[in-house]
Amino acid sequence: MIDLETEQSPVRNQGDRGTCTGFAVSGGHDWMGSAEETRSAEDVIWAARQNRPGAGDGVSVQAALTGLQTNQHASEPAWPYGNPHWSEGRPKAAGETANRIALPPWRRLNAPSFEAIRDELARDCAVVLTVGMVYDAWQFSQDVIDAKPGEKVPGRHAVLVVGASEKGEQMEVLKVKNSWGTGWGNGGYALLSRDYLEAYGVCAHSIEAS
Amino acid sequence: MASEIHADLEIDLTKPVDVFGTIQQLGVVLAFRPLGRVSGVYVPGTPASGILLHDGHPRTRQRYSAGHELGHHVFGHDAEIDLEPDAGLQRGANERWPDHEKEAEAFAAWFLMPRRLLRVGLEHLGIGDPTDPYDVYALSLWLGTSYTATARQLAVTRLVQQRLADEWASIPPANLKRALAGEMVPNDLHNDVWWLDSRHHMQPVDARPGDRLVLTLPEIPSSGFSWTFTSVPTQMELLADSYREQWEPDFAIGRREVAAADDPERAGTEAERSFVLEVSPEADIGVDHLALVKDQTWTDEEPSDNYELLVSVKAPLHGVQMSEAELVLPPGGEGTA
Repeated sequence: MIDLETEQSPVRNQGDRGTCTGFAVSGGHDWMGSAEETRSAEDVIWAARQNRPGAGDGVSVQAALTGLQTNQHASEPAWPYGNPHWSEGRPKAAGETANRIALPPWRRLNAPSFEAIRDELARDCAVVLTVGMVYDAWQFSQDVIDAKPGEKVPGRHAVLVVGASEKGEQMEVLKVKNSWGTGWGNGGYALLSRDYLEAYGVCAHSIEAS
Repeated sequence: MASEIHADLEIDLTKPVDVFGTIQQLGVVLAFRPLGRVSGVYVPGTPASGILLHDGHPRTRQRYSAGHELGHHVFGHDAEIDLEPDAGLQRGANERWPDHEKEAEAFAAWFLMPRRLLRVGLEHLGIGDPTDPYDVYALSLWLGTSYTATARQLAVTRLVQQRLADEWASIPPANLKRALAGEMVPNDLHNDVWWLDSRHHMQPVDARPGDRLVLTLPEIPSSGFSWTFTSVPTQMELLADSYREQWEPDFAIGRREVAAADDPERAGTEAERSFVLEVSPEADIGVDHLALVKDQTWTDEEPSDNYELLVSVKAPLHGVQMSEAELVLPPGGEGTA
């Protein structure tokens, strides 16, 4: 199994907000970027909203990466989570050049297939994955996030892929980093089945090392 | 005349009017029994008059019929047998009514729904200005009045435009119940569907056995914070959860489709979560406590939100509502006009 958990920044908790894209993209940038400091999740949502205006915390990864490409990505100390809320505008510190870094090259994968994601990990890229959420599958009463096709999907979720089964392994899973705190799953990480990906995968974006 | 009764009896117009209590306060015998297509009967008499109501009708309809029959009493009308009062509310239909029926009908509307009380109800429910038939339905449940009559009275009191009120009043309440509960609509459409949301937190609900509660609360699935029941009364059963079943109220489906059309790849959007609970058809009279918290179940952190309802289960009314000592029926007994 390709397992790159040890290269990740600490697992965080988004709280009762729909900012999963902010944490998944920031986690990917933490991993692929050269900066010591964690990147700001609030800045990701703000950047996405510059690209696609709207009111909610929920944004697409495509909008977030496009927005960050234009505006660069502030550090967490420059724009701490929720202080201020992104809707109040980018704070002065986050706008300062010294506190922002450019987003590494990124691309959208043609399809969020298991092989495509594994190939990106093998190329030392981070993959931000968007999936439909089958409610019970994510309550973590089981070892692997899994669900039959055709289940109810009340919303979509974005996570960072940090590992995958290698070719020939019997159990085909991805390892994902969530933003629900370290109490969820195994220290904030979980395995997601190939079947789940194929049934509920929405899109995937790859971020290269800077 | 309705306002005079309010004043004379010092009726509190900051809460729904207790029409049954008023009838008894005026010394009128009140009784309930099966009446077929008859909604109410008024029997004037000495020393006591009587009002008989259909015991199989929904409470809201019984209350409206009670207001109508009380109108006959207040105006000193002769004995009356009234059929289907809501049918008379169809625009134009009551134009052909005799004057004493129009008087009784107007009395019922103004007695149960004075403008002041409508405004109190709208404010209490957090509705402000009604914008759709669901608002009217919610108001009618709070007032304890029929949906159609409530829609009409909103126009009479100039709280909504006549055109809108006509449009809303033309919708059969059964259609609203189906839209709110979908396939979870009560088997017996005489039962009510209570649409409850954040605005009803800590509010009392006067339900009857067999009623269904559609509870819709905001949730963001991708946050991991989810609503869980911490207290479900034994005489209530959870029938459906829109996050787990394919079931969903019609109005929620519409809202979700609008949100998805904006950007189909958006992650982290809010998705209303709806639960359907049924008050057991065999439920006992009493007050039950329903409570939920919103939290990440794997942490010890404080919940981000909580929600509570006090569900007061009221049994169907049967028989005479006065003590035996107070009973003085006219010759021929109850039910004769």
